[in-house]
Amino acid sequence: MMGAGHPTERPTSRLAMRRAFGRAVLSVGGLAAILLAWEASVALWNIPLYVLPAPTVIAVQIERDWALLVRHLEPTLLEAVGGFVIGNLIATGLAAAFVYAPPLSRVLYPVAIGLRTIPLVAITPLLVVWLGNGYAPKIAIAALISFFPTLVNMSRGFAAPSADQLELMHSLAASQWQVFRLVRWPASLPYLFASLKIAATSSVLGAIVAEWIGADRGLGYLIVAATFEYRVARLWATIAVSTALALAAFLMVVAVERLAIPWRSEANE
Amino acid sequence: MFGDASKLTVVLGASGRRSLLGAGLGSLAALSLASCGSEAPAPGQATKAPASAPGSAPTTSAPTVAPTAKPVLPLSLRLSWIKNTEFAGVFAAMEKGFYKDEGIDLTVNPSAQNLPEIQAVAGKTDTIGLSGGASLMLARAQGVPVKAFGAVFQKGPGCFLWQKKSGLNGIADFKGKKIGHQQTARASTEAMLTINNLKVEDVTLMPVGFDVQPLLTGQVDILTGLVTNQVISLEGAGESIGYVPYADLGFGFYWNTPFALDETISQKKDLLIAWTRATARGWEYAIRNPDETAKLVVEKYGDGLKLDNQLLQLKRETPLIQTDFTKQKGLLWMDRAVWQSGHDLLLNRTKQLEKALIIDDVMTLDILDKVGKIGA
Repeated sequence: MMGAGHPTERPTSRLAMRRAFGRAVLSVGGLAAILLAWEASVALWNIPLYVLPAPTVIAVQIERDWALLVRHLEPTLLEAVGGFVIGNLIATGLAAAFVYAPPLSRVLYPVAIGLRTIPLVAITPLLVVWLGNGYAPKIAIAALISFFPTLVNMSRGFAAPSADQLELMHSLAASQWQVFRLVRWPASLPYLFASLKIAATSSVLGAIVAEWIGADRGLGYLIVAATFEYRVARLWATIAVSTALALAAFLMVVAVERLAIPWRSEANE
Repeated sequence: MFGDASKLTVVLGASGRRSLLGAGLGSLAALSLASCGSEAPAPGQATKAPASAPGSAPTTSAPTVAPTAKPVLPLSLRLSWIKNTEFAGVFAAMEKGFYKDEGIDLTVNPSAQNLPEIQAVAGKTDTIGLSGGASLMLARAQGVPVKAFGAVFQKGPGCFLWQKKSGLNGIADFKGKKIGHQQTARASTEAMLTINNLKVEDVTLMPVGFDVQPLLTGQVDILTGLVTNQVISLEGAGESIGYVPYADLGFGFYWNTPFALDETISQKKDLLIAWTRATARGWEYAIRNPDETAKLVVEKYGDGLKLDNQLLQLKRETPLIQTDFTKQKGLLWMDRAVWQSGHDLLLNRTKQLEKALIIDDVMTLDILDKVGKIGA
């Protein structure tokens, strides 16, 4: 968004790219080393399939089940994205309200913590009763799971500007909206992205857990169906795809963060 | 959120079904609370008075259910598990138009790990549910006004299973062995041991997940599971498995019993009769045509399931669904005495019931009486 037009013009960009490349090599190399060690230990100790299948076995299964996996990826993706958007919007809005109406935070913050501490497995059947069948209860769970980290972080983020900054705005006769737009919102962005990274992966997990209420489509369904028939390789193929989905969601947030707050993400990624 | 990741791994290992007995009923209490706020009647204290119908639910006040020129009524069914051949009769009836013949437009909603069927019916998300006889009695004891009006499985598929190479032959050999049971099946496992003249101290009871791994890795000698699931899966994986069904150990509960709220049974009786008739016809068809039905289930309803497994499952289920009793009375029939003895087990042996229930609160033959004999 904001910095989108600039990165290439910056003098350090070539150096930054080289660094980024180095980091990518490290990440990919690390993953490859783990997979290699995994493969080798399965072969070396002759680990049976039902304890741990080798990565190559899982890869072959993914290839074989590709159409099936893609078919079931779709609803889970929809639930995760829906929950992610709704949960984060509500959390950000609520956090903003907390800043301007502190008593509200005293009333609602404990409620929010209470919501977060409810064991999901216990509440999912009730969500079906409240919200009916179909996507609604599943999106609600993904939203619930995305909601809390963002609320906590954004409550901090909107309060992050120092007293000096706020005083300056006050002496410039800035309106409340201007203070929010020019000071509080930019100051909160690092907090926002920190929580979005958490929410991105957990909303995928939330959608999968939600499908255990009962579904006939989705990666969560496929996990239940595969375990039900004791098809270990397919189970692991589904796990791999779920993990890839969560990872992709995470990377997407990282990419958006780079564009939105380049001054910040440069330092710590 | 990392806590949720661990939840994921808990169920990832699941190879079979939830426990047979009373799993997840804790959330029913929460449901009672929840429905107090909504227009649903509070199931807190069980009274038999049907609540004055909130909203305008479609009722079948017409006394006859003629298969011709009837308005089609929507009806939703909550299964006790994912869509598979455990519900073959329902899918056969859908495919063959048996529900349509009765003027029913049936929606089938699956369940999975989280046991929502009793909640779903009590909360009026679904009109009819399928559950286990024991779970229904425990729910009733907590004041949830649900009642069984039929029974698909005459014998539950629950069993003890072991690897044949262990040399075990039956429960008499269990002495000194390690039994892995699902956490919620502790009471029923102990009860089955004592009924069969074993002392609880004679064996080592180990709570395990739904998974078969503890058996394969030798952590336990015996595992609780389902004839129609773990046994088939293990055999499919090339293991040689021995098993004994709970039903043969004096532990008899109906399984996949259709149930509904008391008020539904009194107000929509004709609809339930029509549904039961169509479902019994569906099962009759499925039992006669297992290959066709298994194929239908895999291709149309249970995406990703394996035809061989599903066909074998259907064949293993058949003797549990079609018994000498149903040959006499009809498919889906049930015997009040079986409910009574199951009730007494829960009350006196497993102590899961704190006080006696009235059996006629738990089950009714009113619907089956009107359905008649289907499937000889």
